[in-house]
Amino acid sequence: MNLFFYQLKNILKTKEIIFWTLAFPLLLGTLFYVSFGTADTDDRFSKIPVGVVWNQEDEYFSMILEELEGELFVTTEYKEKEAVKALREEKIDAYIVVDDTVSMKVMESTVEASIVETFLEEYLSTKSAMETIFKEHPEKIKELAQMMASGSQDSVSIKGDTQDMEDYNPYLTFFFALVAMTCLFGSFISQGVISELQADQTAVGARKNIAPLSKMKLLIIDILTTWLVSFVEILIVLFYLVEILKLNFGANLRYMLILAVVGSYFGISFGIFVAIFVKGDFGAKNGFLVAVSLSLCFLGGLMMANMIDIVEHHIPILNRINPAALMVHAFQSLQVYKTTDIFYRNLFIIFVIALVMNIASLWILRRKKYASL
Amino acid sequence: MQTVVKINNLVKRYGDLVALDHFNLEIMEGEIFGLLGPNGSGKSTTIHCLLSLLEYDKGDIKVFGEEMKPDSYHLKKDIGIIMQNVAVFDRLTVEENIDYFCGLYIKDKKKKKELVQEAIDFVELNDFKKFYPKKLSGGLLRRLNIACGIAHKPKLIILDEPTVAVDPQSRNNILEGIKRLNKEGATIIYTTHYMEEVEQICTRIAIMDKGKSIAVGTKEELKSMVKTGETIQVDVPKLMENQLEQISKLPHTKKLSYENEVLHVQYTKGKHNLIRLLDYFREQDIAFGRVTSELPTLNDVFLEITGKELRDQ
Ligand SMILES: Nc1ncnc2c1ncn2[C@@H]1O[C@H](COP(=O)(O)OP(=O)(O)O)[C@@H](O)[C@H]1O
Ligand SMILES: [Mg+2]
Repeated sequence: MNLFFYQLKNILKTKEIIFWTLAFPLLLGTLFYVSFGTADTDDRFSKIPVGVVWNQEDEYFSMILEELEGELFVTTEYKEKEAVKALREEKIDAYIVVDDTVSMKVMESTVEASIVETFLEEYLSTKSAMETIFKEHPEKIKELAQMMASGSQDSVSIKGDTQDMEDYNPYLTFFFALVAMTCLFGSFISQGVISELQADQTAVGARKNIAPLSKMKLLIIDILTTWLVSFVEILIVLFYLVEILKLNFGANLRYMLILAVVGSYFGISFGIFVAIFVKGDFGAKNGFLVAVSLSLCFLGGLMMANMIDIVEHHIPILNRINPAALMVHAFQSLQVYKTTDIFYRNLFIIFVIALVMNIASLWILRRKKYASL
Repeated sequence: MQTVVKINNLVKRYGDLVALDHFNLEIMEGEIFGLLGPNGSGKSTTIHCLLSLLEYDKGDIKVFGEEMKPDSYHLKKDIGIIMQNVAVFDRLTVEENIDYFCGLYIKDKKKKKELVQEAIDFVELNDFKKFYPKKLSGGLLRRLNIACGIAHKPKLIILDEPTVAVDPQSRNNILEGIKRLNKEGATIIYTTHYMEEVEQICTRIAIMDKGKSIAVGTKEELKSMVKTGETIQVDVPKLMENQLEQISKLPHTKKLSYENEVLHVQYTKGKHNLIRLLDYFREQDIAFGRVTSELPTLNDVFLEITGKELRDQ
């Protein structure tokens, strides 16, 4: 227990580490906020290109669409085959098939697709009631259409109290990526601590190696302490962004806790992994961590919000395994889609990668002697 | 008496460099054993192999009669080590550092507390308990390093060049401390390249060069191995050529020189050299000043065996 507290003190008193893993993300967050946190959001919703396949006539639906043409949607009529092609070529975000009922097809879950989806749900659920009104008061069609449109926009937007009308702000991606960066920077903490467990890295490491204690025990203390520190730091950053800067993350406390637990676990596992597998002195390993962390965050959208989309087009596999992209996407999914499936799936992937790294590290660290000190 | 450390035919290579070349060593309980050798002779490498920190190519190592392995925790708990490099946490205070490292050995809280205080008393760091290592002078830092290594009262204490870059006062404090630890029952291994230190405290000495143990014994035994006896130095204002000649003919005289009014005479082994020389001076009515006589040093031993000076300067 004492070893645990001394290790905590040892970490918390390392000013450079605390700066890079806590103060720096807070500063960067503030900087982002000042430069575009309040940016104009008018053009946030450009019109969504949608294809429509008329297999059957539907007077009421076509009038609704007409009303929304150029407001919410830009529609193009297609035959089903053409629609598939257009969707694949991304000329449209989704297409709607009208037969007995109306349904839609999408390629991937995007914000736009989800707006179309909610619009359709709205339409279907109110169809019978509305149709009656429409028959009696055809002049009300505009009103009805507007209602559905705004309803669908609202439900995809954040459920914050003051910002009800705000929609998904692409700038939020920067802040999500910033949280991901905080998680990855957690690796600096564990890299430093692990170097103090390696006889060939530090004198303290040598001294620990000759103590009558298994390395496993010492390593577990190191994992727990660094994990705790990193976890608290991530919570502080999240708290700052959500409560002080009042950014709408669309995530409640539970999701934030889960993200902080998994994100910090990934960060420290990554640091341990690099400390053990990358050859070189402390500086070399640290440089490697900085370079990789920043690259992953860049690819996850830290500098350009649409980076994830660009990667998706060229090397999609990267988005499946880049923890920064996975985290950003997890946040976006909470914000935009109503399900938490993606959130949990992404965090699970991150957790598995971390676990694999951790086991590999433990395995190597068990190697007990060094070739040279 | 029990053998505490036994190293047999130890070979350690760093790539092409042979750092230890069939090195042998045996250390008995209660000794202060000195490992003396110039920089790069393989002292630290020996210690690291002994502690199972380093892989080695050949040989076997026994501690307390048992083979030493990385997970020989029951052996490790009785070993205390003070490495060449100071190994402390910069961000913990003097007291916390000692407590931390003692805690790696001692679980019982009360006992640990006592031991930590004892260690602090031992290295006389009571006034610096709450200091951080960065605030300590080189000598005090070395003492902290020692306290961290011995707080758990090990039976075998290994010190690797603990006095490098230390002021004379701290050096004395350290050497006296080592003697006290030995009196309290610990076996000591002490490595250094300062022969004065080994002569001052060690009961037995191994001289190392290029990864080999070239001579082992007490300092008297080592010195008796060399052919050189004492060296006498006398301030003499005036000496004639023929007088010099006659001095060189006195028994046991090996070599002499006369420069800047100082006479140096080196003898092979033998007794009464000084008396004989001074008698000669009186006989010849030669005026002389300060007289010093030096016995052979371990440096002379090293010089004779290896043909080079032990001192690295
Ligand atoms: N990590 C290492 N890699 C390569 N050579 C080493 C290493 N450590 C020591 N050596 C070499 O091994 C020899 C013995 O070194 P060392 O045991 O440190 O000597 P000492 O402690 O007596 O000064 C030296 O020639 C040194 O240069
Ligand atoms: Mg050395």
